[in-house]
Amino acid sequence: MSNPPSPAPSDLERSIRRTGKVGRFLCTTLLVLGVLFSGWLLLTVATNPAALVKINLDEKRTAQIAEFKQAPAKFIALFETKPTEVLALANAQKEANQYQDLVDHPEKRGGTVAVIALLAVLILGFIWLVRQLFAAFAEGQVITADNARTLKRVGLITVVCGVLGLNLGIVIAGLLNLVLGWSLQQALALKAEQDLVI
Amino acid sequence: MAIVIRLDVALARRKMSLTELSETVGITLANLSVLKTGKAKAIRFSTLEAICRALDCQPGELLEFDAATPPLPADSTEA
Repeated sequence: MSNPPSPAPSDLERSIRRTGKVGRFLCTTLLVLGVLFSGWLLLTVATNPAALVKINLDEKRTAQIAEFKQAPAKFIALFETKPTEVLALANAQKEANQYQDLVDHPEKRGGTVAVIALLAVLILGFIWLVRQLFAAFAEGQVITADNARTLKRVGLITVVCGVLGLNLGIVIAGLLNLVLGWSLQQALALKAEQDLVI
Repeated sequence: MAIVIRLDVALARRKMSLTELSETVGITLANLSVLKTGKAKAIRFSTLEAICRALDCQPGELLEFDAATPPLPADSTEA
């Protein structure tokens, strides 16, 4: 006896599955790159932070900063036309100063490595959970208990990241995710209850 | 649950199968099965009316209260 043919997926279902597959691929790529970058950053901070100073302040940027010290008015004028360039330079200088501090005070490296490792674990965990969501979408599963739980975990990690980074916007985004996950769980519980009303 | 569904008894008396009842009443076999096995949490009056019409019986013939069964916890009865 042959099985009856399964109904053809609707356009919406096909679109969800396609989005899931693309998202899963992007998250996997991000995850691999994130692991490699975190490993490299941790190793460099622990063993050779001077290299990070050089990366942030290459010859071009060092020359630009020297020029800035000599003629600040030129950069104030530049900020009005190209603010991103000046901000990138200021950011590079700030990061370079932080890494230079690690070169000057090697005893601080342990703490920095621990903080970077913690942040890396949180961010990679976040990407891993988002990948799980996309993987479920790729399977055509959208409103499920597993996805609600994953959404709550994503929210929790976002809140922790926001608290550690003292960023109120990220904390609020995380709380919204938590509420969304909780609402989805409640909706699923109501549906399960409703399914048993004949 | 202390409320017991006697659908199987009513069907047996009328020598009717669950599939036949499902076709007559217009309720899916899966839902009637949930009702018959006592897994249902509630029954709509419209469903009860349709079953009573199909089986030509009174609601009391389909439902029974079993006092020996412990009551459901309060929160499980809330929607």
